[in-house]
Amino acid sequence: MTGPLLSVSDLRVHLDTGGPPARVVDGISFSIRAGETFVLLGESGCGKSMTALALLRLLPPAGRYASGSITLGSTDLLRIPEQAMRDVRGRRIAMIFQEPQTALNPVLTVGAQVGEVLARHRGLRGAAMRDRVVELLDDVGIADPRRRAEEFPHQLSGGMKQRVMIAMALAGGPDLLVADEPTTALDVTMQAQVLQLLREIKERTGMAILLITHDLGVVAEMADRIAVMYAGQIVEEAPRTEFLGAPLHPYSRKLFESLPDESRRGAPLAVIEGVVPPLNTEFRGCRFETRCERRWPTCALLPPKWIDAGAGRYVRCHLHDPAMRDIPEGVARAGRAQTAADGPRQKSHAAATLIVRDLQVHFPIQRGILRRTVGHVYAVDGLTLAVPPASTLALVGESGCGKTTTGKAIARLLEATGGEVRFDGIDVLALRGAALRRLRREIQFIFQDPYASMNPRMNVADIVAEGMVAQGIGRTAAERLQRVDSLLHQVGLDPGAKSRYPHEFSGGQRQRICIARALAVQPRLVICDEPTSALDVSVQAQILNLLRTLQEELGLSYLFITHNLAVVRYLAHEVAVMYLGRIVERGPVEEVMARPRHPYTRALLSAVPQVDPETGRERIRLRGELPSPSSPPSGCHFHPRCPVAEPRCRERYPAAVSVGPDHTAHCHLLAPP
Amino acid sequence: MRLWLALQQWWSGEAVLLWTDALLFLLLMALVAAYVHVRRDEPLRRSWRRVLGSAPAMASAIVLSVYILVALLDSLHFRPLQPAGESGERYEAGVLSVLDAALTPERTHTERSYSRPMAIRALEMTTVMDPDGLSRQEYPRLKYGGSHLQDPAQRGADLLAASARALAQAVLTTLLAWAAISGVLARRHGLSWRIAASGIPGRAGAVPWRTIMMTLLVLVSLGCLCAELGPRYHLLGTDKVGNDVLFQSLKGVRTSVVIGTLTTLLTLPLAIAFGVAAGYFRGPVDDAVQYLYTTLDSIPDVLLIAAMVLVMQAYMAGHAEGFSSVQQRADLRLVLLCAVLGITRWTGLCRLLRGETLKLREQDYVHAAQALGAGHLRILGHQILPNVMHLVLITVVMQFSGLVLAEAVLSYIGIGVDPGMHSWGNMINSARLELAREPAVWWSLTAALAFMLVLVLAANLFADAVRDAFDPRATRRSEEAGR
Repeated sequence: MTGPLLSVSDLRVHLDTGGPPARVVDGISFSIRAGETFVLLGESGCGKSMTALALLRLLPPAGRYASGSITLGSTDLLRIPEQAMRDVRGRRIAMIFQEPQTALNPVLTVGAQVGEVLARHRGLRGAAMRDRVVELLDDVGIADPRRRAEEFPHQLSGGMKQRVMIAMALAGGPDLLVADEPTTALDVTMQAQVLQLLREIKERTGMAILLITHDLGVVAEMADRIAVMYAGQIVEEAPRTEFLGAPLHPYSRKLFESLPDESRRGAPLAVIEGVVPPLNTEFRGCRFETRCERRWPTCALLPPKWIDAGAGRYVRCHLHDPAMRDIPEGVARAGRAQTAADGPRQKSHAAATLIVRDLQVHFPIQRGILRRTVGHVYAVDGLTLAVPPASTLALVGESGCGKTTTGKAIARLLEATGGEVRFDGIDVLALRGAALRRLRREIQFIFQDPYASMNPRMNVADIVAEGMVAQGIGRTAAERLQRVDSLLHQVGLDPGAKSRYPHEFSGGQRQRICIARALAVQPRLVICDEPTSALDVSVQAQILNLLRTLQEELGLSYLFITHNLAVVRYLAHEVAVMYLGRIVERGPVEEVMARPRHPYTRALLSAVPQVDPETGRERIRLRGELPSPSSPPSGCHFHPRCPVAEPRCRERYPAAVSVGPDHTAHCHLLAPP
Repeated sequence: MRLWLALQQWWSGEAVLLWTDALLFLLLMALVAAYVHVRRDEPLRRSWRRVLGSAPAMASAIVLSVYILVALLDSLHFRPLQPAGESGERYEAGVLSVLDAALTPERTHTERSYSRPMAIRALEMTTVMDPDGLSRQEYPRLKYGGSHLQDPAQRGADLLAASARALAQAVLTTLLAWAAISGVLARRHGLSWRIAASGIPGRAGAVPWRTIMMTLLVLVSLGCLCAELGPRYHLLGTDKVGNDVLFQSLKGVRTSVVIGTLTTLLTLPLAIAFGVAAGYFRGPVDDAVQYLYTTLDSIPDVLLIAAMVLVMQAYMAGHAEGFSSVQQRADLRLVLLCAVLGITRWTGLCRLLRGETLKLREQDYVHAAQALGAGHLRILGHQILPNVMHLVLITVVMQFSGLVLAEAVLSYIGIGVDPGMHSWGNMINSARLELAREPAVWWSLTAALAFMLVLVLAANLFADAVRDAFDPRATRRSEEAGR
């Protein structure tokens, strides 16, 4: 192999912000060989995406190159004119973005957008171009490419759009593909498909991939080499097996430790205290110093060197510096001793707190000027579940399967069309007026996006006290304020925060405030709608720990809506898998995770990227996508995608089959003949 | 000094409260309440601080406040005390405002007809009788303009001297103001007086004191000039019946300010209530509101206004006994004009608010409030309304200048304010004939246009700054850049 395809040395990018410049990329160097997958790993705000944009000279107006060079083959990309750069973009380096919805032009057909790249870089015109477009779409696994080429982006699903983006990127025949979080916006099954596609393309064309991600599972599945970024710098670089085996930098280690997993059940997850420091500060020592558990005085004084740790591994940490021989005793211990004091799980299934029977939420589809109802979206269609007291039921499924709708219908934020919801024996759906208001005390909701779930015009004290005012808890304002203090303390925030406003807090802190607001009315059931999916891994660990502690202290029940199976394994007691508005399998979490019986559950579990991919893991690739809930397939909803479908699956919906203690699944194949 | 005497007169006289006065002072109270609210609300304070930091906004805010001050003085109406010993009535029949009283020499110094700005002779020749019985044509001396001069040739020197005096006074006053502000700043920030004084000219990022002082200097100079020259000359000339144009222009300020503010005030509740209700409740409420504003929007504005004004006129002519004075009648007509203008103007804001509310009601924090058991009114008041107020504020300040111009246009085509009322529109209307004369009478039109231009320009600059400070998209951009 000759020299590297792309090498970046000492690249520095500054964002001018009026004050001191934010050093978003601060002296990073790496190189990518042809045909290699190089992964940049890091939390949000550490400069990953800015690095990608810098490679293509697509910095935002406020950004500028402070120093460094980017060499592609033999050209220094920072020295060529913009005219020449345009031949590089798309032709030699192509990029795919995180959000396929916004990366495609909504008013042009898919074929026209792919064709544009061909015309620009390949000089193809007319029929030749159209044939090539169809070929490319076929390559990225789009069925019926000739028809799809004539369609507009809104007619395609998210996964298909990402495939189109990849086709566009491939159109120029690039040597390097920069993929910025290409699967973050997709479901696990779609993610598995797209990652598989990228691997295939890489093998077929020998193209190199620069993959940017925050997901350690994706890293394990895709990477050849990995670079971990923190606060604008690369802190560790290593080949995959070495990195997954034993990461060297304390930050990388913490990232692994904070992953929720079955093996960490019952114990608090490791957390990284604090947040990424603002990048416009003047760093003296190590940037990770303030959050590091293994810091010692030198860390605050001297910036760590880039140390060759052998076997292609590099790390930026004093602990691995052979010149530093005087590391104090006790610092080198691996992490904090964890307190594994977890109360035994309550098995008392005396009476379920929440019982949902045959819940239906249908949305009418209205057409024409008279708004006649021409059909329904069967968002939730006959869903049955039960949440036992003081335990967690996880509701799992792909996006669009009706998870959030279920949660909102139970909390009476949406009107259910039919079915029954009983909370402590009270018929929730029949409540009106004051009785409904009393029920609101018992059932609370935590939202996915901590940025949108707080009124930006209210301060924290008012936000937390909102429910107390509405429910008449606490007679005087002073009494309520006192309770706000204790609530903030309970969720791990300084009571001094109460006079501040939401925008002053980070995502994790905001989610804590939302939890405090929900707790203010002393609920017994909290519906958590993907409360950690908008957060970084280390912050996710903090919130999961908090939710677990609160459950132990207050005896709360959670209905935990999520698509993250690792979180389910860590937190849930029971799990219900949802597909197209119905539960297909439910049971205790150990049972379902270890012995999934429904084909969909199996496929879902096998699609999750694993950090330590054990050999011989059965992989079930689901074909196609979630069907539209406005016209669900006949019989078993899953049969069009099911790898083991039989003729009877098309005929009627399967009844619940008991496959173990408390473990049921809806599948014909499990039924005794 | 004259203002002080006028205020004393007002105090001793019998206060008369016209409709527009009441509404204007209601508005003032609302402003004070808003100020108190902003002081306590941190996000609002932050936005307003951005307005305060902008130099054009501060300059125009000062100009605007001068206009508003004039309008407020002109809204303190009263019947002056009758000189003792005359008829049984304690108070005079005519209603005056404090501004009238303060501008008494200008108000009462009425010439026979046109005269040029700062002239001492009339514009037209008249026949005068000599002592020896011969009649001859000449430009007669004005009754008041420059009447203190023995020799007409002294006019230039006298004007120059008076201007110099005015300028000196202005500089002195501004310096005093500077010293006072420095003193306050020095105390607040714990600096020495000297540092604060030198800090006023241009400290980056803070309130632009330098601009403020310059604006003050210009305004105070103009004020002193009027005070020096006003009583002795007609600074901006006189109109057809010999009235002082400066006085008329100043009286026009109130009309414009009233139209610009009251129109919005009268229709704001309508726009907010309908817009927010339509967006929040949707369904039939939304349909009804949309139907209403689409219908209103499809009627041509001017036609609607003309029709309503004519109906109103007919009604008032038929019920003349209901009004005790001409002023009251003109005043009521002004209020109704505001209402009519408002009816044609609330739809834009209403549509904006409906759209924004439709978006907001799906926000998680509104759902969260619902989940906590908050009622509709509480959600509307606490979650929705504070988050659409920036739209209301931006619309109000942007509409102000449009309304001032609308008044001029409507008065010009004869369906605006009462012809007897001082307004720039009426002045422009009469200038139609004046410009056709030989020699042309240009000063009336110019004065009205200049006053209007300054007001509209200041209002627009201020509106721009307010929009920049409150538009969430603009702020987010600047915050992102700041990160």
